[in-house]
Amino acid sequence: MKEPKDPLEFLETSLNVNRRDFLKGSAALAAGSLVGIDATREAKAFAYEPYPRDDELTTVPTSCAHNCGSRHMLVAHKKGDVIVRLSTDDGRYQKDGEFGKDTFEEPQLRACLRGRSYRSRLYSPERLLHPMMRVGKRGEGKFKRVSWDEALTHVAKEMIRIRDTYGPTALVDQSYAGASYGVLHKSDQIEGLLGRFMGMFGCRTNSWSVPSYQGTTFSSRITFGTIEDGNEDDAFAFSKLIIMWGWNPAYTFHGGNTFYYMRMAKQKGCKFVLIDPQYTDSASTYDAWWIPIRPNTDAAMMAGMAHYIFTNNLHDQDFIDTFVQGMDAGTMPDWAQGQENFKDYILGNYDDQPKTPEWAAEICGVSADDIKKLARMYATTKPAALKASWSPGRNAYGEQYNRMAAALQAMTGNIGVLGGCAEGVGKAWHAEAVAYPYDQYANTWFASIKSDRWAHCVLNYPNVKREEIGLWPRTDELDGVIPNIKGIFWQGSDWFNQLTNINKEIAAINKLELVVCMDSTITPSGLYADVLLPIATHFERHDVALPWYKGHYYIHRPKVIEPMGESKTDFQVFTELAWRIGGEKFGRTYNPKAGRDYFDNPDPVDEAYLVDWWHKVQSHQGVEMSWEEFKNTGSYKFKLDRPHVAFQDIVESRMQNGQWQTSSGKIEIFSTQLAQTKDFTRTAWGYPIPAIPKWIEPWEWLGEKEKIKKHPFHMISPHPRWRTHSIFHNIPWLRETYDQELTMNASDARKLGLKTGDTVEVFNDRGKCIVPLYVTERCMPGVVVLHEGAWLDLDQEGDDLSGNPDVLTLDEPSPAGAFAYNTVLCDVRKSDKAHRPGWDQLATARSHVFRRDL
Amino acid sequence: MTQLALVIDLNVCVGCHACVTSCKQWNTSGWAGPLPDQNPYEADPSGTFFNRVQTFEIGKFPNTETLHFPKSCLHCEEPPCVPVCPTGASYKREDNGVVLVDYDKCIGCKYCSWACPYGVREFDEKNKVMKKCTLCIDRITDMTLPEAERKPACVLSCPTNARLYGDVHDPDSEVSVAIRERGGYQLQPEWGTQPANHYLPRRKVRIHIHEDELVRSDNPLVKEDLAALPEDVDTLDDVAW
Ligand code: SF4
Ligand code: SF4
Ligand code: SF4
Repeated sequence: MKEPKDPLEFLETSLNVNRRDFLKGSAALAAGSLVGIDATREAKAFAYEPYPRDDELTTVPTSCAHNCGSRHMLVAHKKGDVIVRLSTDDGRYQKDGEFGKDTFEEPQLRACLRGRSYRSRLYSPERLLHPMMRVGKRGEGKFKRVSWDEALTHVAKEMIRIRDTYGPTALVDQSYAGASYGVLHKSDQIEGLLGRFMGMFGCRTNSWSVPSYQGTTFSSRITFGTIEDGNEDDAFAFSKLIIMWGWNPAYTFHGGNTFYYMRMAKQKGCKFVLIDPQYTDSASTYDAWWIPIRPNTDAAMMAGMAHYIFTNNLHDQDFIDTFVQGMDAGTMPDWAQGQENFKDYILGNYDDQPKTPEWAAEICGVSADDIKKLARMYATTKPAALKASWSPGRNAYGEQYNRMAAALQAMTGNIGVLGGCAEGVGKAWHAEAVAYPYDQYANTWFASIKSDRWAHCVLNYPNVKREEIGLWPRTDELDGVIPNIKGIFWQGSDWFNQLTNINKEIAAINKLELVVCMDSTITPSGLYADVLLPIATHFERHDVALPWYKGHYYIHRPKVIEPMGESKTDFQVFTELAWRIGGEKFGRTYNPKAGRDYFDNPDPVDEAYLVDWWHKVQSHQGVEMSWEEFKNTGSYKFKLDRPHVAFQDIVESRMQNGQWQTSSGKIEIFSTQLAQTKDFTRTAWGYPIPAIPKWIEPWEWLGEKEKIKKHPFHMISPHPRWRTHSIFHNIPWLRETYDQELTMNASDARKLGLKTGDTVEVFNDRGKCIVPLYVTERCMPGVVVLHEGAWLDLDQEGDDLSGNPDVLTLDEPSPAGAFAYNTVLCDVRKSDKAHRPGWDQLATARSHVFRRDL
Repeated sequence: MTQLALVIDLNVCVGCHACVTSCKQWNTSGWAGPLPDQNPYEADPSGTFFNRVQTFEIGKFPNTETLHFPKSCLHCEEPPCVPVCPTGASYKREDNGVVLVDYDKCIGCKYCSWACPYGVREFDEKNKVMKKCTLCIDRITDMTLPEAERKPACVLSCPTNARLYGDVHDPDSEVSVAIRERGGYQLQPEWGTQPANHYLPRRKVRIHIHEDELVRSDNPLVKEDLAALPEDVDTLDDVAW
């Protein structure tokens, strides 16, 4: 076709050619004569007409990012430097791949609704495209655009001043796995790039507790000596009974394709049970028996089950005798004779209170009959998976729930068995996770505190006791020294919005002298920063994606497009700061493969790190594929000889092939470490933790007769489906699909005279938020559900209009460090304020002008 | 005659909405686009979607159930949305049975959306034309794609593989077999619209755990017969699911 002179006219004709073709029938198409797209015209991210077809676009497989629990493939279809659309795994981008390939060993890694909306995040008006510095008050959202030089000069100077004035603990590292989790570009509390940078710089207070699952981490470490207590998802296909304890895989799948195996289990006749205050989508899909339970009382119900199992002799004594320490008197270590063992605690031999199902029923609101029925089912169905998920552990004494679950798993012999389950944290297959320099400087810190205690520390300094902030012990003179916090770095984290008790954080942040936010979009946290540094997304840098905590594959992440605006990678920023602060010495120690020009051209250096990393993969994991081939293929999916089941070798060989990584080498229901701790104030936990799992009453719950007079509802804040924590909150498609709303049982709503759609205020003494109400039968009476992650949006009176539950949560972590996100009493009433589902409109407008395609 | 259609397996659908956003993804950047968004940051964000998942609650606490019901144009064999159209914009393709709208002829009068008993036609408020699911006509008839890839975007995206696609008039097709063998049904057949899309029903989990499977063979309790179920206690089969 000859190109007409007038491009508009040309577009018109070509468009009509296409449209008419589809309208009439397939004749023209069958002839392969689909013509008429001007290849020279500029592609736009949101250009609609005429539309580009796949064969005119370049196809680049890459992955999704973020800390959702999974890691899926995204396939970018781009024209020039613009991604026009995204698709997902279709079986092609792997070794021996072909379209449609989807097998038990190598299931497709199909993206969820969020991943499929990713283009809207990539090109969102909230993208940070230039370095900016605050000109208004903190939180006001007024910034001016500055050059990288100006921004970094300021940051470097302030870092040095603060370190030299206030000492090596004055800067808090609040890096988290939100925005980047690759082998090279990594934000993370432990393995992150920021931790190594600040450690080397000589000023860093680390945040040690993990918001998602610190109670669970503690339990897994104490009980099994490792957090790798998980099976790969394919093991679920072999279960006869799956107890989803607070687990909702329909929202948060853990692994590349959980559904594949859950569906298989269902087809094979597996029974499903859900224990949760709310009826979930997973329960409906898997036809589960729903046992509604009062929040925070899971450990009591489990104790009741244990009682039934013990007294009916349904436990696996052989398993206990062989593998477990402290389950009963006979398995107590010699040195601890006379101390409390688990069975005698359950039978009430210490406190005259047998933990019978009837006793548990009073606490947890589940009938004793149901507790017995479930206990019998679990003890007699083999193999059975008690999947003790994380959210019931995000409580006051949440660690007791996870440890109690481990006791049930152990007493029924469901550990190390295909179809059983020992999770816990549930990390399974071990990935080769780190491609950047990881040496003696990694995770160097001079103080380490419970992550949601920074505000408490700032507000009360110096009158803070070490146990109040969970100060990690040290062996040098810094042991016990309370950090005088003067600055915060957020890297890949929106923690200001996501930690507990936001109003306390707001009070604290105004005392700080340096707040740096590194992110690809403006976040609610960013509004409180002094300096905003625009960070390239994973589409704009070279990396390799790891599965998040289950799954056994790597996905290549090429630089699909050039960094937008003036974005740089985290690694570039830290390298440049190192050069500025400590010259060549610091610069080259921090990033040994790079020179100063890394800030302008990171590609060869990044490639070199990744090549080295791939060599490690090849030698440690027996991979034969070459790096070049991997890059061309797009992903590498491991085929395992058998489904990966944690501790299977130990159990099958009856401990001939290794033992648990605890100090006794056994599964420690009675913990050696806890039993031998004399002074808990000298530990990071700060407060006593019993050596065996116990039911301990939380500080706020429905059983607190006095407190519920004032605040009659228990609020829980699980993960939403339409966000990954706070990420994706600003995506139009997802906003159109779901609302941020408060879920309440119909009988409660009736009592309060409320109905679906009413705007209500949810409040307690810590804060208030405004949100629409959703009335349902799927939530137990007395409980309200508000999904975490809405973008804080305060009005003049300090009320949050977005419905962020963390204005109500308490910054009082559990002794083991578990965030008490789900330990909240509140009240609900009708509001005359308007819910604002967006966020500060000023902020949106501000970044809007930087949008590339406008 | 060929009648292309979707068959959606409600027994495995988890209501995840991946089909919703991937449909929007493909179609907003494709032939049938755009699918605009209105007020995405305001109180009532709304937008054009060809495919939506409706969720129904059943029962009273605590005996509740949820039914996720993905719904898009059902490509009726007797589509009432076609004859009501004054301009001929709404029509059914002869060769494959797909019901489409010619945007160039559509005057936005909305008669068709009144006529459709399923509420699946989507008015594009921005461009003032009627839109709806095209069964990804620009994929399924694109002869430049290998045959296996000529499938709608939602089918290729569903993480649970709940969405089947094919010719419901061909008795040997995957979809026809599924309809026949797994109780596939049409939505509201009493309307006489003969929807081509079908749904496979929710099924209760069949019980096939046998006594001998209940107890692991290497469990020492077996020998002592301690794990045998007493007569008066509910067995698995008696549990109310
Ligand atoms: S957000 Fe998570 S679950 Fe969704 S596509 Fe991305 S990686 Fe997958
Ligand atoms: S479902 Fe509605 S729009 Fe689709 S063909 Fe039938 S009547 Fe027409
Ligand atoms: S993608 Fe599949 S599982 Fe998800 S809502 Fe659609 S049909 Fe259901």
